[in-house]
Amino acid sequence: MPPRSRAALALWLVALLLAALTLGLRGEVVTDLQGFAPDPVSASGIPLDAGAGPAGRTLLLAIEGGDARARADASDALVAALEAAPGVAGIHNGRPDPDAPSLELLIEYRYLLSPEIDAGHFEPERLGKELEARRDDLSSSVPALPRELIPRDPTGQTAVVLEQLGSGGGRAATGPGGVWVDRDAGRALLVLHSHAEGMDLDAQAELIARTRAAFTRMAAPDLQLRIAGPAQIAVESRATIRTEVVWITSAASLALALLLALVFRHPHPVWLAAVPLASGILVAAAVVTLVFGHLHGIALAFGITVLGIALDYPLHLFSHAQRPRSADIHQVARELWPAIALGAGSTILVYALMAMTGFSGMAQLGLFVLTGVAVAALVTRWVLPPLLPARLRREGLPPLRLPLPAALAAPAPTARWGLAALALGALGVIATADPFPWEDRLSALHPVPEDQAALDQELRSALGLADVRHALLVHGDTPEQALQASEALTPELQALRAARILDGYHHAAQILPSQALQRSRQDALPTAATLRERVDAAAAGLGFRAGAFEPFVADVERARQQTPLAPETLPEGLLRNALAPLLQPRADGPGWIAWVRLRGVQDPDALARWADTLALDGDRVQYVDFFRASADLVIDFRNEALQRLALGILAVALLLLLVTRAPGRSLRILAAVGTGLVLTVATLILLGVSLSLFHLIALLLITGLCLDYAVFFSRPLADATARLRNLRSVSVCALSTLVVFGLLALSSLPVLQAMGLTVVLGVVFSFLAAALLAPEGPPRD
Amino acid sequence: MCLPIAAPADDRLGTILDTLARDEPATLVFEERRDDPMLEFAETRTGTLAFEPPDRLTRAVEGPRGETVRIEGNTLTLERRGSSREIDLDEQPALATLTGLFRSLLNGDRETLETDFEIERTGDAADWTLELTPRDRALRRMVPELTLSGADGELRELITIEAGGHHSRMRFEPPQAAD
Repeated sequence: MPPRSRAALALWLVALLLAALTLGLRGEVVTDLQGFAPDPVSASGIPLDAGAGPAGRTLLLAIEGGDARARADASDALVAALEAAPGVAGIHNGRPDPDAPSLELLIEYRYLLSPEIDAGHFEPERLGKELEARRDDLSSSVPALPRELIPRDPTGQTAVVLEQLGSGGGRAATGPGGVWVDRDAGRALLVLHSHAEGMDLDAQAELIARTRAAFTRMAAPDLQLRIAGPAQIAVESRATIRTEVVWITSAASLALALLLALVFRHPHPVWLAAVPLASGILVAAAVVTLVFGHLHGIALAFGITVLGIALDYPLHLFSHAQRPRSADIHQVARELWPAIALGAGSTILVYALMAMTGFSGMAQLGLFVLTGVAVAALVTRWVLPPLLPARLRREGLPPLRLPLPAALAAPAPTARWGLAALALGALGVIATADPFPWEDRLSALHPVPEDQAALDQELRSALGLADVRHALLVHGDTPEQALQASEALTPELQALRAARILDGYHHAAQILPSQALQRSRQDALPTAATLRERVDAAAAGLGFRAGAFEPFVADVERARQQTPLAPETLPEGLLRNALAPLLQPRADGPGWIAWVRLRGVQDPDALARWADTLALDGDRVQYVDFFRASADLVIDFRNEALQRLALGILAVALLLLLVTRAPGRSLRILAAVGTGLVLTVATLILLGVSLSLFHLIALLLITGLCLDYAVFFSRPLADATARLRNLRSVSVCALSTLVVFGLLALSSLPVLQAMGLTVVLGVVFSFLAAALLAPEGPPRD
Repeated sequence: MCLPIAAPADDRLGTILDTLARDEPATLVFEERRDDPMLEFAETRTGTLAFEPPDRLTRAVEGPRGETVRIEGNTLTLERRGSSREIDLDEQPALATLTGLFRSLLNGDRETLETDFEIERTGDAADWTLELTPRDRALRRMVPELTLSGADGELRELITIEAGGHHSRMRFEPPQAAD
């Protein structure tokens, strides 16, 4: 082994070791979708996805089967099992918890929290009616209020405050046993709020597993638990993708190994072909982790896909190292290096531009691919040759078994014209596609099974939960400001409800009024002396014992002295749990945001029109359409990626010109890449496919593949044997890619199918374009 | 004695409940006494409890603040001073349990009784007392215990003590000879 090879091997091993160490010590794969966005909360303060808002933290549970009593009991048992479980911020089944320790805080502060409190509330006439009703309660077998509370709370404000607190949690019908049920009472319903963000999929998956485990422990064989909600959908689709990816990857690896074993007739090329790719993935993951502090799951998945190019380099090497008349493998590697380096260099250039973007996900993807490609190319050049057993190194590999049509080696000139005509036609198809079939919905990224989406919709509507799509966002420098701004919106929201544009709304100030409003309620409370006088007058002749309402007078007097509650100083408990999802400090700077959640939006257009008039309020209030916000994000991402791709191809043109110093060859290469891409896109459009981010990622891969094919095909080769060997080499590469992505195209998941189909088309067209645009053999004199 | 022959020796609760069940309309007259720490004087009124199989029960109390409470299916109708109000019992589980007690007793629905209450029996068929403890946590906090007593297929008395000191006693008169 030459000393240079030994040095290369040592360097390679050290690099792998360092990469493994980095990943072992600092490796962290982030899976939330937000990390892929430019900023977790964009400049306008709108989180990326519906799953990121308060709705994302909500899981909807339904218990089916058995009889109504069994379902109600199971519902209660589930609450008991989960209410103190880690990760659970709250679980509700419609039954108020009588023992909640924080209930006392609500009762104590009822005169500051209740929307019914104003000066009129304590007018003698009103008091008279209330006390009359309470006197009825004392004689009735159906008291309107719990008798126990009458001395303290004869006007029933505790109930009002509790109702207000619960109104955001759901308004489902109550069935036998007092638990929430759906409309035909066939299911018991529960709502579970998580501490974790909706898009923190690992935490959500854990919570869902814990919920299912708690249900299983209840051992009720004829009952079933169904779970819905954005997090459930995201977790489930992630699991489906994982399963599918695992079997497709296994099947593809097997098929690829078989193909390579058949073509190369020798086992060594099969496993050695994986070495550059694996090294590239390992080092790239480590580099991205070092630069960004973490590795995004999506960047990793896409990155590995795009790194499929790296498989071509060893295949070129082995295809050129066959008997007879093979040079020593080191010699072959040296001869091929300019072509490999040129192909890899162009690919790296494209991804370098992509790495320099504000989109953290895209930057990670760019850095991942460029590092991986560079490592794979270097490993192919310097590490693979010494890894090959000495005998093969000297004698070369057995001849390839790969029958190819003769026409491919020497394409007829008419074929080129045909290709040119096709490319023009394809350009026409792309140019006339109006509107261009982009898929902008972020939801298209999640393969949501129909029945999951339907269950989510059904339960959400049965529970009267807020719409996941529409919401208002109120900004404030302080929580107090945000609460006051929310309160100021109430009359307009009432008008919207009256106009049947929406069914209801729920906001933070309904849970905890601003301190200003609490103070104005305090001002409306009568003094102890006045109140006592009015109570005595109102109670006269009703048969109450003297001083029966002293607790009431004392409570009102205490309320007059209370320090208003503030969000920052709320103790743990019901009130704080209900407020937390609706009022939060901004994630991206100073200031606070308060949510106004909208229920049953009937007329989104009217809502949007009304929202436009809100801009007058100095941007304090903002209307959020989560679908549109996420679509905007997809569009931004796409535009950025397309721009980078165009810039990249321009830079590649310059690079080719500089390196090859042959304008003709550069033009051939670029023309092949362009033709391959244009034909692929046009075919997708003709097939009626909407182009999503996944197609774009696939197109990026195709660009790299086509660059590789075109660089090899355009090599100025003197003799026919070399040209044939070159053709075989590229054919092996194209075939192996076809095998892998052909299997992906068979996937049932739209996402994987999109990538598979696109790459299959791209490989076929790129190969044909590159082959047809290859220079003709040297003129025979 | 009319004990069912097949009744197991330890199922004396079943025996008592069986003797209370009616399969034709029945009306019971009672005297109700309510006392509450809020009231100057305890109040005593008379009333009737009318049961029509299978599931209709009407409880009427006469006198000042008299009221008629009728339950049928899952609906409760409250009439007081000429106005009436309907309540869905599914939404008021505590009320459903309390007002449903006599209905379950009279139509022999032991299953509902036992899911709503823990029942402890003392005495025998000739003179029995049932201590009823609501199983629902919220209701138990409001009404910790109800004590029902009777003899030979007749209800004698129901005493209810609520948290906060409200105390009520329904005392049933012996059935009329014509019944």
